Amino acid sequence: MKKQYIDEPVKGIKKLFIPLIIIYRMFLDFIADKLYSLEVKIHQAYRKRFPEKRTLIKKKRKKELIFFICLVAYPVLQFLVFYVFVNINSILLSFKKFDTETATYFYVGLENFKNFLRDITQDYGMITAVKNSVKLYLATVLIALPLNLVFSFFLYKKVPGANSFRTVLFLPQIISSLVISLMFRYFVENALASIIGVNLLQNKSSGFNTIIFFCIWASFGTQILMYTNAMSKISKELVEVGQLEGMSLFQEFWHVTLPSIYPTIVVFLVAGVASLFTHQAGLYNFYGPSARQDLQTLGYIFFVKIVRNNDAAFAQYPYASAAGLLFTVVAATITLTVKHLLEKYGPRED
Amino acid sequence: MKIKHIFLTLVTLVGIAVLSSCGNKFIRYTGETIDKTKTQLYIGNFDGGLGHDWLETVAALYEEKNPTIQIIINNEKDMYSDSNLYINMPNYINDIYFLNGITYSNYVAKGLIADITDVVKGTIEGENESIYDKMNPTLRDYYETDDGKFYAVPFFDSIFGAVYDVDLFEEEGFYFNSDGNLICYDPNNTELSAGPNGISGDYDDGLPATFSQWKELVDTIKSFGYTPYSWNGTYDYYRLRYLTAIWADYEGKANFDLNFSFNGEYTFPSDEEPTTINIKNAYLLQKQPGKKYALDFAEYIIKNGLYDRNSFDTVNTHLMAQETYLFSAVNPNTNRIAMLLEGGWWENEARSFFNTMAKTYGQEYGFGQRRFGFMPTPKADDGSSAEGTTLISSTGNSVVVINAKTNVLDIAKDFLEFAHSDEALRIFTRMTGSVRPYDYEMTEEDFAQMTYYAKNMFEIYHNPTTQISYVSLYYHKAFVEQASFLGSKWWWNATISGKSLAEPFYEFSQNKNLTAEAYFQGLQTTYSKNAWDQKMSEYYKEVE
Repeated sequence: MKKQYIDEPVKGIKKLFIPLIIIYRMFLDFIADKLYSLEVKIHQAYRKRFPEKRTLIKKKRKKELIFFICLVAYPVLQFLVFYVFVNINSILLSFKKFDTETATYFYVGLENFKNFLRDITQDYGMITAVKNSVKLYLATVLIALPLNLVFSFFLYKKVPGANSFRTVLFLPQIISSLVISLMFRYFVENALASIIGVNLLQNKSSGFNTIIFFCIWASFGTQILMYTNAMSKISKELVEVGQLEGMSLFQEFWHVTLPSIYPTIVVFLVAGVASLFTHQAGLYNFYGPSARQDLQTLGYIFFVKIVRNNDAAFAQYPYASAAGLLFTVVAATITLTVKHLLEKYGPRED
Repeated sequence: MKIKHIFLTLVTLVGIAVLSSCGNKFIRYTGETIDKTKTQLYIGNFDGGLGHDWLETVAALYEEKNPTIQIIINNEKDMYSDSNLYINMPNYINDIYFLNGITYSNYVAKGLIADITDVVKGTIEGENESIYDKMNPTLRDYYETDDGKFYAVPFFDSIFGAVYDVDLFEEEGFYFNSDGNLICYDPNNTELSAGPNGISGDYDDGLPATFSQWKELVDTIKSFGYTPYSWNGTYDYYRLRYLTAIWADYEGKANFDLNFSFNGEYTFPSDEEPTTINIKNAYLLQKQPGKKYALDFAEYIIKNGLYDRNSFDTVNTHLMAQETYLFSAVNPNTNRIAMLLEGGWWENEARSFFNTMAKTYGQEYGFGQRRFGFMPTPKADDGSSAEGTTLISSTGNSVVVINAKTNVLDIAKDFLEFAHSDEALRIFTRMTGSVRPYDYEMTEEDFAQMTYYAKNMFEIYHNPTTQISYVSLYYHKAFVEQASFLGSKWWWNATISGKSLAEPFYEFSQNKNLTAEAYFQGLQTTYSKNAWDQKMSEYYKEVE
């Protein structure tokens, strides 16, 4: 039977495009036919190579297996390509050095590791970065975490205006981080400076503290969202029983809410350990590659080392790779220790 | 059925996109129609402060002389940065590039750029000289490889320092007369002093010749209700380069260049005999008195409040600083600013601000109507500064190169030759106000079309007493390999009380007790013998 490519009446100027529409639909059919033939040929070849056998897995189970493989394939591939392969290159680089005359890398053994260990203990710029990174981590644990928990709790308890409050807090998360950094910078350096007479970012004594404030403020929304989400899963019956027994708001927070969401807190704290070495505190958004030395963190220093658009960047890859490897070793140790301690000594739901 | 159609359409489109992308090089839409009757020459132009008007003019002239060739210019900035181009050059379609800065040795080693020795050393059509003959000798030595080959030629030169408002200086009598007094205080004698280079009748007449005169000038400017200095707060290297320019002028080219060649002799103030400087003891150069001299300027400017209040705001970009500087002449809410720390290209970069001012305040504020000049460094009072004028150029690594993968090598070489003809070099200077590091003359007709500032720059550059030091050329590989030690740190990084200080202007603004002398000692602490040995010992075998 001859196929109709135009199956409905065409009126007006559309008639001009009839030949084009026919060609397009013929082309689609052609592709579909070719794909189908290919599929059939592959199937036939497969069956020839692997004749069908009776199997114990039922048809339904087989389909589930295929679905599972499809589901897992993507993350596995991603892990192999973007973690295993990329890091193999990075690990190899950490034992090499860049020769500027031939623009090639050659092996130098442990030299990069030695240089990094020397720098981190003797170089004042690096020591400042270590101090800043630790300060930033402690601030997120000692200041941001309690604030997040308290705010989340009040939102969870649906204080008046909770929803609008949540929106306002979450706003920085839906705007580009670059825009947020710029806004903050302009606010502090122009508006606020003209009101209080001090440029908090420019001032050496307040510069890094202002950056810490920015980091806490900018990540506030995400954390609150996570904590309120965790709190919403707390058994209502449990809370009601407590309330019937005269439990105060503070007691509810301390004895019910905190133990119930403790696993979520642990996740944030443990994941935060790695940020000791990687958090660049939004400095690149603020200052590009030329942030003041007193503001720099370890994450920023190493990011700038390799991202800089100059001749030195390629020569810095091996050193940065060696540092990265050492950071991984230290971060993994601290992470596991912290996780162990938090799980052992933290509050329990029971 | 519909879903199947959509899926098939998507698969087809993706397939077509993948197939069509194979083998083709990246090209951004320039708006030009490809003329199939002609051969195309693609040019990648770093579209920074110099802009692209001059290149379009040169290209149009070339097309006029070569009707079978069509030139397509791709103006980009970040795409042509050093590390981006190093990785992506083979994917770009451009045959020839005009670039802001590259690591020459890396590009040569990787075979990314074509050998252009023949066109560099051959006589330019219609002239008696080759590009090689015209080229600045310092850059010629740098770009010529050990086996006498060239893979790049220098693009442009841009000196760095303080730009001053000539109209304001004339209006208020901020020039020194032949009696050594400021004309504003001694208006009966209007004959200008010889300026720092000691030669009357040239570009620096009437400008402060000594540190004392400079202090008198800036104090007077302030007392008249003007702001002496302004600079941008976003890029601290503008301030650092100003200090480096002062240091270089104090030391003179030969002594200053030791800081990147690590090869030569230097006599320190406390010594009678010169010290041979090499890779083993180059840390001693931190004791060069030129550094202390430059720090004295920074300390004086900051501690006497001789700068614009926005100068340390990191949101205050170089463009905003230019705008503030220009508009300060008419802005009733701010003091007029006398000087701006900038690169030689600034006037062309600020063209849009001039145009805006012309629309709002009248044509007398338009581009080329106002007069600006370059202020050379005043000499030390005790006569210890080097003779002549040493300027720094931060664009010694700006180059013109030909893509090694070009399909039209002969045409690219021919255009490169044309772009270095006297005619093309004059067009560049006439239109951008900047200079190219080649020997060429401007005609009276050219000068008539140039701004006061552009003429001033050309005059300085071609003055017999002027020498240029190229601060972005690394003769020693340690500058690349030990970038975190010798990179930007090498110039002005001090260590005081266990703290690392990177930028003197800023540090003086933060710590009122910090002195130039303390900062100078701090430079020597950062580059102590111990620290130097730790980082540089692997290179010592070069001199052993």
